This record gives sequence, C-alpha cells and structure tokens, in this order.
Amino acid sequence: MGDFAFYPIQDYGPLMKGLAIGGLGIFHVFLAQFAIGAGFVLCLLQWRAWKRGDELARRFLDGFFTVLVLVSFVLGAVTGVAMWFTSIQVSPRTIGMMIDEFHWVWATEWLFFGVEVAAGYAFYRYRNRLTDSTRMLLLVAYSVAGWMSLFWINGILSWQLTPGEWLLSGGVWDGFFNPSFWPSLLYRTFAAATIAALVAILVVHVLRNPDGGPATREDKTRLIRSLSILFLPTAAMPLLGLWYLATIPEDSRSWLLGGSPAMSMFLAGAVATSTALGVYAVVGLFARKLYVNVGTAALLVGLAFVATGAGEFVREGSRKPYTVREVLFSNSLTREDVDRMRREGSAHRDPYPIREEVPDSQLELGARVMRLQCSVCHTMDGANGMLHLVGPWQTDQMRMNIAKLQHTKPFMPPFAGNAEELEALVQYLSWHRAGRPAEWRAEDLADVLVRNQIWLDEAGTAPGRAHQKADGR
Amino acid sequence: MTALFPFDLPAASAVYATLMIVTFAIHLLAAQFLLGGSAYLAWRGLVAPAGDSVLRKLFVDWLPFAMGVTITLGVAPLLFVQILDQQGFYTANLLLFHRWMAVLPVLIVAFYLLYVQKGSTRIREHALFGRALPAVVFSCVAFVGFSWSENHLLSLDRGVWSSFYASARWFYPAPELLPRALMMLAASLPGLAIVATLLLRGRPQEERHAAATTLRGLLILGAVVAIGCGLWTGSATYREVRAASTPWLWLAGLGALTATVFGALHLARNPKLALLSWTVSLLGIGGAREARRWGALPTDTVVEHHERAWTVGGFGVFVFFAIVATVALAFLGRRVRTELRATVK
Ligand code: HEC
Ligand code: HEM
Repeated sequence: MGDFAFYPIQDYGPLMKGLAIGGLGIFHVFLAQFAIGAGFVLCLLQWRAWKRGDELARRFLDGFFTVLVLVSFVLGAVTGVAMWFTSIQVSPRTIGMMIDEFHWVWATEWLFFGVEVAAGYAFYRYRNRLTDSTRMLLLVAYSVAGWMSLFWINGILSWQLTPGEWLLSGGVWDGFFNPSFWPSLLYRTFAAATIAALVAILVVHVLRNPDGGPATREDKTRLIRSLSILFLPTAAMPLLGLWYLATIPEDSRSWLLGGSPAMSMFLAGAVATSTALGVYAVVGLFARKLYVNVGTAALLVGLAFVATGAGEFVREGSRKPYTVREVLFSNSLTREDVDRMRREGSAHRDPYPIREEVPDSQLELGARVMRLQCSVCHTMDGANGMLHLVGPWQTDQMRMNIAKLQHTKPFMPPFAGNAEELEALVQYLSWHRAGRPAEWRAEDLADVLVRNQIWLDEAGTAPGRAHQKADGR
Repeated sequence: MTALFPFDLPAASAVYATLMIVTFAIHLLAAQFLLGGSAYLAWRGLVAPAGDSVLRKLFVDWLPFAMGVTITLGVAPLLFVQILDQQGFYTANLLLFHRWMAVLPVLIVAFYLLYVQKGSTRIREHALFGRALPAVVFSCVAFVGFSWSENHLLSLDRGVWSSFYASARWFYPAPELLPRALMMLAASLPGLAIVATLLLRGRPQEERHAAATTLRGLLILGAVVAIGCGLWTGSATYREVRAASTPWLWLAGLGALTATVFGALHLARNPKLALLSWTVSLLGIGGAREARRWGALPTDTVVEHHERAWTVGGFGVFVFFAIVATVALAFLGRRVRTELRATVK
C-alpha cells in the first residue's frame, strides 16, 4: 500500500464534519472579506480627508478603524488559523495535498498578511501623529496587502474545484490560474467592498461628535453618501456569478441547477439575497442616495452574511464527490487508491482500532470501512444519517446500492474496497439497524461475495456522472 | 566528520528543516514576549494591583499587538511543519481533537481580554478585576504554549498513537512535558527582558532607569531556570536521538549564557549583544527540536515526500515578493519613524 497514511478519524457524534468546517468557513470568509473591503473604505475616507479637508471623514475613519482592529485583526487572524486546524480535523489528506502543491503560494500569501498586520498596526498606533500622505500610504499598503492575500488564497481554493490544466501538467501556475480563478477573484473583491461598506454604514450610527453627543443626521447622511460609490460594483455581481457558473464542471453545475435539491435551494437563497441587496444598494444607496437608519443597516449586514453563507455552502457542496476535483475524493481517497483498494481491501490495514464494542471481527471490519470511506459525509443516525438513508432497504438492495455507490448518487465517490469489505459494511449497517444485538449471525458468505463482486465490477471505479439523473437508483 | 544536522540531509529535507528552524526561532521570540509579558502582569497584578509602573504600562500597551505578531509569525513554521512531518503533525492534531481545537477559543478570549486590559484603566485598577484579568490572560496564553508542546511531543511518539486513539484520551502527559513547558516559560523571561529594553529605547531616561533593574533581574532569573529545566528536559528525552541534537543544545545553552552575561553587564546600554546571543540560543532550540524530530521520522517516506514537495514551483515568486515586502516595510517604517521623531513632545 506504499505510503498511504491512515489518520485517526474521530467520531463527531450526530454532527457532520462538513458542518463544522462549513459553519466556521462562513464566519471566516465574511470577516476576511470585510477586512479586505474595509481597506477600500479606509482609503476612500482618507482620500477625502486629505484632498478635500473633510474632517468628518477623518473622524469617522478613526472610529471605524478601531472596529476593524477589534473585529478583524483579532477574529480574522484567529479564525484563519481555525480554518486551518479545522481542515486538518476534517480531511488531513486534502489540506496536506494543498500544502504540498501550493506551499510557496501560501508562503507568499503569508508575506502579504504580514504587511497587512504591520501597516494596519502602524496606522492604528500612530495615526494621530502622521501626515496625511503617510496615513494614505499606510492605508494603501494595508489595502493592497489585504487584497493580495485574497488573490493568493483564491488561486488555491478555486483550484480545488477547477484544477484545469494542472491535471495534465502538474504545474503550480496552471493550477493557480485555473478556469474559475478570475470570476471568483472578482466576485469576492466586489463582495468585500459591499460587505465593508454595509458595515461602515452600520458604524456610522455609533459615530459621536467631538463633544461626545451623537452625530447629527446631516453628518450621517453625508457619510453614507460618500460611501455609496462602493456599491457600484455590486451591480456586476450577478454577471460574475454567471461567469463563475460557466467555468465550473458540468456536473457541479447540474447539482446547483436542480440536481441536488438542497444545493439548488442554497444557490437560490444566495442569488435572491444578493440580488435584493444589490438592487437596494445600487438603486437606493448609490443612485437615489437614500438615508439608512440603524435597523435597515443591521438588516443589510445580516443579508450580506446570509448571502455569503449560502454562497460558501454552494462552493463547498459543489465539489462533491471530490475535495480536489478529479484527484482526491471527499473521503480522502485518490482514484488510484480506489483502484488498489478494490483489489487489496482498504480498512484492514488501518492501525487505529474501533472503539465501539462489536460482537465479531466482520462487524469490526465494517465499522472500519464506514469510518474510512463514509464518515466524512455520513453519521450513523444523526446528520445525513446512514440508518435513515438505508431505512427500508432489503439487504441485497443495500449491497447493490453501496457497491454502485457512485451511480446511486453521483455526488458520492465509488466504493473503495473488496467484496468482503462491502459485505462487512452492509452487515455493520444491518446490525445497527437491528439495534446492535449482542449476537449477530451473518449469512452464508460464498454466494454473497460472488454477487458483491459482480456488482462491484459492474460499477467500475470511474466516478458517477450527473446525467445519470441524481435520483435514479 | 559529518556535516551538522540538518545539512547532512538530502537537499530538499535540509531546505525545509532550515526554514523551519529559522521561522520557529522568530515565532518563539514573539511568543516569549507575549508569554513573559502576561506572566509579569499576572504576577504584578497579584502582589500589587494598583499603580502603573513603567513596565506594566509598556506591556499593557504592547501585548495585544504582540499577540497578533505571535500568531502571524506562527503561520510560517505551521506551513513548514506540515511538510516536514505532515503525518505526525496531523495525527497529533486529530488525536488531541477537541482538546487541541480548544486552543482557538482560548486565543480569542485572551486576545479580547488584552484589549480590555489596554482600554480601561478602571478595570486595571479594580480590586478584583485588576488581579483576575491578567491572571486569566496569562493562563490562556500559557495554555496555548503548553498545548503546542504537548502536540509536538505526541507527533513525535509514533509508537503510542494507536493506543492513545483507543483510549480516547485528550491529554498526552509525556514525561518530558512538564520540564519542557517550564523551560519554555522560564526562557520567555530573557526574551521579554531583551525585547522590552529595545521597546523602551527613546523613552525618557528616568523611565528606562526605573525598568532596567527589573529587566536585568528577569533576564538572569529566566536564563538560569531555563538552563536548569533544559537539563532536566534532556534527561527525560530518548538517548538515541541525542547525538544529532547535541551541537544545537550546546548552541542553545551557550547562547543563553552569553545573553545572561551581556544582559547582566549592560542590558540597558547595549541590548543588541544580548539580543544577538539570545537569537543564537533560540536557533539552538529550533535546531535541537528538528534534530530530535528527524530521529522520530520514518526517514525514507519523508525524504521522498520532501523531494516531491520541493519540485513544485513557486519558490522564485515567494523570494521575489519577500524582497518586495521587505522593501515596502522598510520604506514605510522609515517614513513613520521620521514623522514620529518630528512630532515627539
Ligand atoms: C462526498 C460525501 C459522501 C460520501 C463520502 C459518502 N456519501 Fe453517501 N450520500 C451523500 C449524500 C450528500 C447523500 C444524499 C443524502 C440525501 O439524499 O439526503 C448520500 C446518500 C447515501 C445513501 C442513500 C442513497 C439513496 O439513494 O437514498 C446511502 C445508502 C449512502 N449515501 C451510503 C454511503 C456509504 C455506504 C458510503 C461509504 C462507503 C457513503 N455513502 C459515502 C454523501 C456521501
Ligand atoms: C499565542 C500564543 C502562542 C504561544 C505562547 C506559543 C508558544 C509556542 C511554544 C512555546 C512552542 C514550542 C513548543 C515546544 O517545542 O515544546 C511553539 C511551537 C509552535 N507554534 Fe506557537 N505559540 C502561540 C501561538 C501559535 C499560533 C497561533 C500558531 C499558528 C499560527 C503557532 C505556531 C507554532 C508552530 C508551527 C510551532 C512548532 C510546532 C511543532 O514543531 O510541532 N503558535 N509555540
């Protein structure tokens, strides 16, 4: 089995692992995009303060910056590390492959992160003692560095779904400048501007006068107006969304456009919220210069969060059954692993024992197969619970559908084991379904294994195809 | 005679190990300021909560930033450890599970409390909070550092992985853990003293005077205890991996001793010599750690892995932007410093 590294896969109980990373991911992406867009807001305000002597803009800038530091320096930095740690927990082989292929890109991103922190902190600490031109320089350095870190990370993340030429050449830049690189970079840039401007409008409402009293309505209106230009690019986001959809693999697109009800729902949610937001921002805020009160501002920020969340869910989900398209399946097995494991078996070499009490060694093998191949997306009876899914199936139906896993639902990887392991998994599921009795009698094997093998051979190891209708068994 | 570790390794492994040693040393210096500074505040908070001494003000002021810097500088070795020993690092993370992930909320709590501490004099001088807050911050920071030690040791001890998993435990109390953690804690004080002295340059003479004796005391105390704990740690580690670590351990010890001597003689007047020796000591710790790690690795597999990793492109781009970033920071730094000097009151 060469260098196949088994990892100690943990049990999350009723929670699905994907949820952990998804939830945190949404939070982190929102904060990171806010931080990037905040760079644009700050530059805009500093420009006005400097070139037009706009003291209100300066006062607001200083207040806004404190929010930025508290929210984004702290939470942004820690949630970034958190993303990393969570990715390791969920799929060590995926993050490992990303590191192996892109560590210099990551190291480059880190340089810009460093510049961002340094420039931001210098501004935070010394802004009152610096000239306008130096303040501007620091903020430009801060913004450019922030945006550049998006630039670098975007190449790695978009590579996961559309590795493009890299599949043939293996070249790092072929992977980096992949088909969805530009649409997703532009989309995220504009989203960043929108989010930051919305948060800024929310912060406008806590602005104080130099004498400590609340700011006047005129002041607030003027600030909101000067921020409104940042909403202009929002208008382009639907087009960028379409461009993005056009670059992703056909089957991913078909999940989104009806193939998978949950995914389509999230896509619809993302489109609806961002359109509502976009129309309000462009028509209301930019063109008609409407005043926005606190409640509306908070609602708009909330909508932006929902749109980001739905968008991230769509992005994560549309990769299925891969974490790296065409190369690494969601359960961390490569296509070569699958081929080999069909012949040699998969889980019997796993050095990590099963913690659950099971009556015999077949069930233990079944538990190992489930842990290795299925547990990244399924629990036994919690989220996406196996017992619920196989509910009424006959044993033979279970055997066949799991043998042909990638055809049962094309967003699942092919089954990666031999006929004994398939049987062990089916018995393990049946044993759980029967309420985990103390004794378990498996059926007579020889016959069953022959049939299992036929089904496995019929299924092949090529991934399933979307046009085989997502619902067809 | 064979070359010093890691230069005796195949080229790719040597490059990654060297990068790890260097970036780790830098991260550790920042972590020492953070850890030492929060230890100092916690201790002062307990014995004398009222009144802002020069040092207390300094640490309250700089620790939030030090936290950001420590985290940022931690990302570089985090990258390289994932190449050097991908399987070991990930496995230890997975085995410790929630216990390892707890580092994250703890970091957030500490970060915000540092800002609270900085932002409110009232809280700093409050009879209860003035004592409790710095103690909580220190506990959080120490917990994070301790967790890194624990995770690191678990990543090395490949023989226990399977039984550790079976037991579903969350803690890995290796015999070496306690002395090692104490060494790291004690070693944070010289790092703190040196960086603090550098930060105080440019402050009025009386302020620097007021702080000098304490800082020198912290440096000497920390270095002596750290060397002692280092010897204790060494006696708890495996014999077979000592050989390659030995020169690095000497470096660590000698660097610490020299820093102590320079520090005792003229820390306030010339902190740069102490900083230099201390940096040597940090590199020594980094080198010894890597030599030790190397002894625990399945060499053939990892060498092959490093060689494959080294063939991917991007190093040139990294070097290019490293130069750009350095130039940009130097330019901005100079400009800011010039203007600050002009406005100094
Ligand atoms: C990439 C993630 C992923 C992996 C890995 C995965 N599944 Fe699934 N599976 C899903 C999703 C998503 C569904 C759809 C659930 C739904 O329809 O509500 C599903 C559905 C199923 C169903 C029900 C199919 C149907 O037609 O109703 C079964 C049975 C199943 N999976 C078994 C397995 C087994 C056994 C494994 C491991 C060998 C596995 N899955 C691995 C994601 C995965
Ligand atoms: C903020 C509080 C932190 C403190 C006090 C701290 C302190 C330490 C200490 C003492 C060690 C050495 C452990 C040993 O050798 O026994 C260490 C190692 C390390 N730290 Fe930190 N650290 C902190 C945060 C971080 C963060 C947030 C990261 C990641 C971004 C990080 C990355 C690393 C890495 C990669 C190592 C080497 C691990 C190994 O070799 O296995 N640290 N840290």
